[in-house]
Amino acid sequence: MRKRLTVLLAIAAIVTSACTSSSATGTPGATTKPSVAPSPTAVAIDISTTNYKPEAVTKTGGKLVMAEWQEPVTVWWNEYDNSATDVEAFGFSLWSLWSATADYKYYPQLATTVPTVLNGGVVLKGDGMDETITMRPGAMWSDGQPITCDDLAYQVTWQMDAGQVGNIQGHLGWEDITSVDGGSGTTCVVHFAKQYEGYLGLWSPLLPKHYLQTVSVADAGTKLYAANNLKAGVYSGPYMPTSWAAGAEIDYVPNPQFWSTIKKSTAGFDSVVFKYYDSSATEMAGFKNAETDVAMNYNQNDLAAMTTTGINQASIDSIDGTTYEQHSWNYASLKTKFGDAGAKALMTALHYAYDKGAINQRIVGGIAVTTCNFNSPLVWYYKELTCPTTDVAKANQILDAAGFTTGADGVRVAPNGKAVELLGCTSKSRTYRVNTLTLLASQLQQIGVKLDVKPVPTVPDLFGGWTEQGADVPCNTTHGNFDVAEFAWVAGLDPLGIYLLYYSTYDPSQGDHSGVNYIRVNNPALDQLLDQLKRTVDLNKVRTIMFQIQDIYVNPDNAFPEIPLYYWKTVVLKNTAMHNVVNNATSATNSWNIEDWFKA
Amino acid sequence: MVESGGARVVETPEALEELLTAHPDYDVQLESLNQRQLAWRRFKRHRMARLGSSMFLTMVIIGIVGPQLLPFEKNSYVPSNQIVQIGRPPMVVPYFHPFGETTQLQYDVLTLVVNGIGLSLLISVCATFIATCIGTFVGGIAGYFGGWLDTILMRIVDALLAMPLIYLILVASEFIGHGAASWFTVMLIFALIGWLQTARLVRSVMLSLREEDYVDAARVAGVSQMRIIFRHLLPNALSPIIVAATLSIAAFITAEAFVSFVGYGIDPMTPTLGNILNGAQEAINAGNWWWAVFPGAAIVLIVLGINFMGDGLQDALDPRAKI
Amino acid sequence: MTRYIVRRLVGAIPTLFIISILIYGFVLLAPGGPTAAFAMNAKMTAESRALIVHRWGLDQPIPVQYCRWLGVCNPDGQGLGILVSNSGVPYFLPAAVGGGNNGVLHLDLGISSSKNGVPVTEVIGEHFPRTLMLAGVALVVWLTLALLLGVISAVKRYTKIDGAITVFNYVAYSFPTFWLGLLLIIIFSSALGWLPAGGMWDVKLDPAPGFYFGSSEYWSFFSQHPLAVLADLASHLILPVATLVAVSVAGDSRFVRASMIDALRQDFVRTAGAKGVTERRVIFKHALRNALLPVVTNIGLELPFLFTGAIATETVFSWPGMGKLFIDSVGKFDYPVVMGISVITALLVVGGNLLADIVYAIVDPRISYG
Repeated sequence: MRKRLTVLLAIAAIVTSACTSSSATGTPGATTKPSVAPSPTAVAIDISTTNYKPEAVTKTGGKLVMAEWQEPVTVWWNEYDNSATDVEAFGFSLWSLWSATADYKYYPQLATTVPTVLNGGVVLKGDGMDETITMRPGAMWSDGQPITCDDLAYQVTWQMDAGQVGNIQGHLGWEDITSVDGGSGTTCVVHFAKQYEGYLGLWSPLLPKHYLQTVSVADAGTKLYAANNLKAGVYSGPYMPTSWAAGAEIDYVPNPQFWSTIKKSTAGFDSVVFKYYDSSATEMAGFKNAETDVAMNYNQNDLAAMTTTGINQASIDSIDGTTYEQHSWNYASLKTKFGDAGAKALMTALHYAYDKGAINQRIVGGIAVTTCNFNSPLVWYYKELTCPTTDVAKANQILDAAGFTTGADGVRVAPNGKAVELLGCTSKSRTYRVNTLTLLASQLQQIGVKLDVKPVPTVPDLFGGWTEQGADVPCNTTHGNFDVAEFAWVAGLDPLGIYLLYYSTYDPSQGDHSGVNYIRVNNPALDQLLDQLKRTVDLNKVRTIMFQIQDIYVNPDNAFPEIPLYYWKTVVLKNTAMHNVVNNATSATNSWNIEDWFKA
Repeated sequence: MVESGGARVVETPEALEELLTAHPDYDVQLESLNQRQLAWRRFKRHRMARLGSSMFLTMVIIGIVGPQLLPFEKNSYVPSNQIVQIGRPPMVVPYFHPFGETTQLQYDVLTLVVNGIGLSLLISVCATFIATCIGTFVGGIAGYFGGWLDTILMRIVDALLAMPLIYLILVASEFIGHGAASWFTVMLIFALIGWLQTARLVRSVMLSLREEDYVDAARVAGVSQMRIIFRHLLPNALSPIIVAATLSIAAFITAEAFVSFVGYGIDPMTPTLGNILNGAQEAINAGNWWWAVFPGAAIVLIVLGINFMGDGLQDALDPRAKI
Repeated sequence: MTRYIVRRLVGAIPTLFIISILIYGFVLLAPGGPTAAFAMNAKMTAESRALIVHRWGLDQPIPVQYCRWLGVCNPDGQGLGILVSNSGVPYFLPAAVGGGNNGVLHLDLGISSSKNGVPVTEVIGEHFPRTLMLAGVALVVWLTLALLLGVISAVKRYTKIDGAITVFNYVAYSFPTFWLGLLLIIIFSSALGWLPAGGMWDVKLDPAPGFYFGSSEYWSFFSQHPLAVLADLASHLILPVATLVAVSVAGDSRFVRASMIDALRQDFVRTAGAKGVTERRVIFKHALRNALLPVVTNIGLELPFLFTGAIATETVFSWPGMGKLFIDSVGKFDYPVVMGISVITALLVVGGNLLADIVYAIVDPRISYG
């Protein structure tokens, strides 16, 4: 009943698919931050050297039981659905060319190296670029067919096919590819007509050409990798699913082709099970009763319960994540209600009125890290910003100066005569969000703003599409029937992830209504920077651009309509006998390195 | 025994004998009571009915008065050591929480429960009232007129009853109310789904009653059909209707609790007994068990009281029972 | 007798028809649909969404959609041809005769929109045996207990035992099922740790893959280690069954008690007593048989409610059965599954009513039906 917001997952998918060069210059926990100088020195930003070194396997065999409380939707992760639970459950069945590591680097999966400008894998050619992808010689799909550049080439045509029904990747990035050389060999050269910053996110997952060709493109989503016929699927990763007992569990067996042609060792486990619980609480209870080995999908809100339930502290693995809890303000709605000047003043005042410390203390028990930046400190393009402090007096001053008067009931009245009464929305299945907005409402009372909190179902109310329901469904973010909405974004490894969030033409009220610029921000300087970002593959230039974007974001005078609250923590429970389970806060999820796991 | 202006009233033959032996000079007069007064007397003497009524009435009083004393401020976080009186600024009082606090915003559980009782009862009683009215009307017409009207109406009622009502309620609450409906919407949904049993009941009573001689006499005398139904026949069907209505209050309370518990009911910002339990579920694991126990106990007490009352009513209204 | 049964069967048809309209109509009220899942996708084009809508037939007028769902209209047909199957035969006839093979009348309940293409019948088919297990065990336990308690309180009526049982009945009857379940979990699972907090099987019991209730691996493991599997199943069944039974037994045992008291007062019991048969045998042979009558006929009516009453229990105990499937599907706005379950439950209820009527007619010689 509590569902992770698909928004969060949408972005996870967007990020995975538009994913690219990013790396921290240190491992999570090591707080080496990049220099704060406005124009960073040309330090070589290396994204393909990771600190991840798995322990040597001492014992194989046995049954691995993983636990989740949200069921995945489909095997086609990142193709026909964008839930993180899909990646968790099937990311290790259908591999990509490379994966994001726990320390925000990349390490190769089906490819042998990660191509960047730095290591010569990507060569700039005028407006375009050539990317060289080296596949593993002798690698095979689970049905014995070789994995070659033909699969790469075919997938480009397949993604761009006009007959696609429901494929969520769209054409972003794929449309810039002109050709793929390599044929049935394993050294492939991809020719891009235009430089595309998110190139590392393509072929995520890599799909088998011969399997795709068995049905028409329109039928692929339903007929291939069907939940009731998993054995017929063609897989590339360490464990492949054999059966899916709906609502209960998914069963996997080792993929013999993987272990013999790619990993060249014995499978860590004889069988793997993904067990689904009804709620996070029962999943926790199940872990405590030793029913499962690794329990996933926890965050900072669950830490207190884990301790009280009596789970061994050594089993709790909690790290800072890239997901951040935030408040999206609907700038277009504010402008309609209070005029351009009024909206700007109000938004600026709001930046000063928030008491994030109190929110952190009350709602999360003080264990989260508050922030004013949409980027996690762990990404390589993070800039240390000076956050605006809570200053109610200043906020009131700004409103007074802009001509807002105070009515008899304490609620402000804008210069155009409208009372400042706003609607706050969030998913009703997340009580802590309802509580956060309630707390915010009491904070905003001090500046004379009346906030009415309305919890609604996530789908179709909060995030339903343009035509899915009437235009006046309260709290629908696509139609913009809200003033502030709370949910979580993942501003992941790829800086280009923000392109779809902040670019002005992605306002869902315009165009074909498929954009996710819910905050309806329209900042020409920002648009320009984003355009530059999309076409830059030089990581130093990317960082400069990102620094500029962050400066725009944090300055209250810019009245940016998004206010981040705190970073999530990614928490995983693991049996102390498990080895090599490394908590990964990126969209690669916690099952990212399952081929190295063993239990001893 | 009741004193009234020099006269003493006794109810049983044994008491009469006792009184006459003590006062042989008393004059004996027989007072005939009508059905209603007899039933009320039987009800009053029924032990369980007394217990049940007092439980239920206590809950009703808590539900009405409680929110005035301990109001729950929606959309406004009030620190737990303040009590808000409507119309006045909040008072800071040293306040201990007899039922504990919730996590995160530390709402007072007693306040939540008291407000929840009030709202749950409001919904259930209103829904029962409307459902009973609709059911009586439909059942009355179907039973009296018979023929094709009866067939059509009863077919629809049968079809609706064939679906487990909880399904209908869940689907309606989530689809219409979007799981965040106002109490009025939920109450309407309950009422529109809950009238079916009453309709069936009233119809069967009507079927037997309409054959009575006095009905023919009335018809011959020119009394209108509607008058016959509503002034003459239905009052005789009142007993089973009352019992059914009482029990349906309990059914609605439980149904509302369940629907809100799974998250498809009323707006989570407004406390009802089910809503509170929904929020409490996660907290059980964190060790906060009282948040879940007290609302549930409230439900049990209300339903228990109603069941006792219903039993007493059934015995009291049953014309075959001995005094 | 046969005429009565046939008449009732025929009479059930319009009821079922109205039910199907009601089910479909209800779902019409609902927003969202299979495209709801793609709401937040920034990169999907509007054409792609339109294709999905077309695939699901959502761009057809509503009566046509209903007709196709029911299995009377041909999805491939155009204009009036939709009433006729591809072989030229009226579509609603069975496929074997040349009619259609889509729709409820042809046992096709559509495709789940949240399970990515799995037919609804398969999804329900997977969940149904699990509810059957829970409901079946609960039914047996509850009937036994109801009879026992009812008989004991009838024989010992007005004594302290009767009083105690009555009080227990009242209190148990007043507990909301889901709250009782929560309490049991708090006590026996969180606090004491004796029983599992939910689920139906312990996946770690069998080291081999594919071990879940109903799978071939489950049965083969069961044949090798029957006691272990039964113990595991029992440990998962105890709390949910207790929850289901506690609330149901209360009502029924009072019923049994009332019928027993009535039966005990009957003349034939006194006669049997006079003949010298021991009191005990009198009770259990004669009175019980007569008291069983209403209970037996009641089963037919109670059966469907076991399945629906299980919603609350299954939710609280994570029992992956039909009730939980229903709740999850409503939450995901998976209309085909919601409609499918409603249809099946409605069939169960109508069938149960019919069964109860027939049994009653057979068993009670006083009733005569033309």
